[in-house]
Amino acid sequence: MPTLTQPAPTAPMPIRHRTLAARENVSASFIVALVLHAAIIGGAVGWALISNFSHASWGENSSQSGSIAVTAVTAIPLPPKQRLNEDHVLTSDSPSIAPTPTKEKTEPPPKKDEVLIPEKATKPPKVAEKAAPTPPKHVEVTPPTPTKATTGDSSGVRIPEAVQQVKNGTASITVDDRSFGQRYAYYARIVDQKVSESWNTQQIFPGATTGMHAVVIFTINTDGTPSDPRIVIKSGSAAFDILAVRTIQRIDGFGPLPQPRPITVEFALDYKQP
Amino acid sequence: MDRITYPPTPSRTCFRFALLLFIAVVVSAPARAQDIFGEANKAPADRTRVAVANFKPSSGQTDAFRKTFDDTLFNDLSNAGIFDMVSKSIAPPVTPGSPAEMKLDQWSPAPVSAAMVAFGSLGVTAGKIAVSGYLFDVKNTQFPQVLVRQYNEDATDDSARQIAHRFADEIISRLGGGVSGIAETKIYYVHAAGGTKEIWEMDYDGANQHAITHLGQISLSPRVSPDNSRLAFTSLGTEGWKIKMYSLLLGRVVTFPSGGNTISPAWAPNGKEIAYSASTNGDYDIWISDINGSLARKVTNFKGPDMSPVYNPRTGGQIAWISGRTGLPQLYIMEADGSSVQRLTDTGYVSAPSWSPNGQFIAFGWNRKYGPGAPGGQDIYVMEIATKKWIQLTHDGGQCDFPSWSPDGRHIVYANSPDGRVNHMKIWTMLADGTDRHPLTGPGNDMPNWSWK
Repeated sequence: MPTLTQPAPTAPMPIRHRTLAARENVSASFIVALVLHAAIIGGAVGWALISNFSHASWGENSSQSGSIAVTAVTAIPLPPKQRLNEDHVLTSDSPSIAPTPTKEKTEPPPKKDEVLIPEKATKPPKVAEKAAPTPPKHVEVTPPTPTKATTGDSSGVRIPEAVQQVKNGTASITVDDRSFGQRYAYYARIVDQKVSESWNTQQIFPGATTGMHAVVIFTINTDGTPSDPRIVIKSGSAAFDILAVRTIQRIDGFGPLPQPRPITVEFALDYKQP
Repeated sequence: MDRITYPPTPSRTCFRFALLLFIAVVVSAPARAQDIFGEANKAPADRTRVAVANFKPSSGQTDAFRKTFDDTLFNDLSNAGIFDMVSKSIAPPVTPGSPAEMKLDQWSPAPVSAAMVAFGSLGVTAGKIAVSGYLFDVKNTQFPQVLVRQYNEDATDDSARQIAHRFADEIISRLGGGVSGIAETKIYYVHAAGGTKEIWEMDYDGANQHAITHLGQISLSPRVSPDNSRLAFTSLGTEGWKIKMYSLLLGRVVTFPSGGNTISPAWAPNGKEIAYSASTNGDYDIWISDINGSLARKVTNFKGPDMSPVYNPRTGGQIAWISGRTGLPQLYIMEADGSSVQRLTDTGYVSAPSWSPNGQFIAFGWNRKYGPGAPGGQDIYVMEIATKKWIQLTHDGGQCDFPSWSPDGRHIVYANSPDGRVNHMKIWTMLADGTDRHPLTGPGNDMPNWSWK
């Protein structure tokens, strides 16, 4: 069955009879084709030249042109140009012309008949020395002599006092027993440190204001455990007072007391907003 | 210069509100991140600066003992983590042997600037070491004496080390606010050699490593009793995994009957009960029995493995454990009777919890991104139970597992293998904030457990 892609064989064409006439025809039509091509190319180039003279070009920065004037730097979303040489920090696209080094002028050597005249040394003017002003004498204040007879009692003395700067505010410790603080200063330091650590500032409520001041008194037993914490100066906020008491209650112990008597400790909290 | 102010228009107010909302969201997000330890567990700003003078030889041949004693005492105080130690190279080259020879003005000026100085004398007479140790407060010139101790022991190198440990513990307890030191504590661990794994014991600083059990079996997860009299561990025998009980007083295994496979024992802090994980049908659950194995009762009843229980050492009333009831093993806590179960972790692969002595934290091994190709590895984490906030203690050091708290709550011992291989496991120690890490043993040691005191 014949298909479309394979047409049936036909009779051979009479080539020999048409050879000469065909050659003449080919050369003539080749010339015509050349002329036509040249005309088309020439027309295109000529049209381009003519039209270029009469129309405004794209991107022309003039008010008459139809395009929008843009600044390419801000419009193109590209990173700024890289430096040409990464090793040199100061390289730029348009390097400035380096200043030519000026030749140092050398003084001409002195002529043989010239004599060098030394410059006159000028003395600094004399200034009379001023006596330093004497500082005002410090008047020593003598404390009033006590009218009371001295006894072993020493009330009102708050020594030693250790103040620890904590995250917000200060916590200061006062051991009421004066001789204890002198003898066992290291223990007072430990008490101060542990109380300051125990004051958990994260629990401070949002309403706390700077300047809140509370004083707690507690007892340290001979085994080092704190007991009976109580507020003696209220801060005005019940929540803050509870927080101060909890600070003491949270402590397991300070270590055994170095003396056989319990001590009383005063603990002052000053709140400062962070 | 005057600032130009605009009257608030509705749209401007609206924009401001949106801006505030945005800032609030952005700022509060990092606040919820895991950074609590900066405040809750903040270290004291000024550590006490402590100097140690070399002890003075008083009588007899003391050179070898003094070297051991001086080194041990200095290392114990350095390892305590609460002192700023004066390096021996800048300490004055004096060896005061008694309070009369002590000149505090040698120790107070810079660069020594010591607040405390420990000194004393060491002598050997008639086969006994006699040590007099003093601790002086340098800043308190009127009453400098803080501590005086005298020790008298047999003249051996080990007793010189023990005396130094005891004197160091006295100093740490006195200056550390009543928390006793750990220089006399022990660490129990698994030592692998020749195809068997035995339970070994060492001092807290890695010295004096020696075997406890000689069973010729695979023994794992040692847990020492709170009174240091017994050691519970898991051993693989003919009946499968069984908890065994070793009496450290008798020096032999004592009976501990239990049904099924039993693993991962844990002592209650009162020393009267043991929690462990047991299974008869392949599903492990937490059981509690007394220390002789009787009165056993089941406290968890869920499908999925429940393992590695640990008691709250402060109260004894809660148990933390690892459960795989939702897939990968996660950390849970509950009351010791099995009620009020809470899940603490939500992702990854959790193992080996250890409850801190003050009951506030749990340390555990955690692989937060578990799976093939997941970033990170298994590291030691600490979680505050009240807030469920956690911090990561180890980073990029290979596989870390089996943390165990020291009894003072200032140190954590753990097992680390840099390449993840089991036979390269070493035991390391660090401060509980993750600093000051150093290894205690060579490779082939695993599963440390710090004694209770």
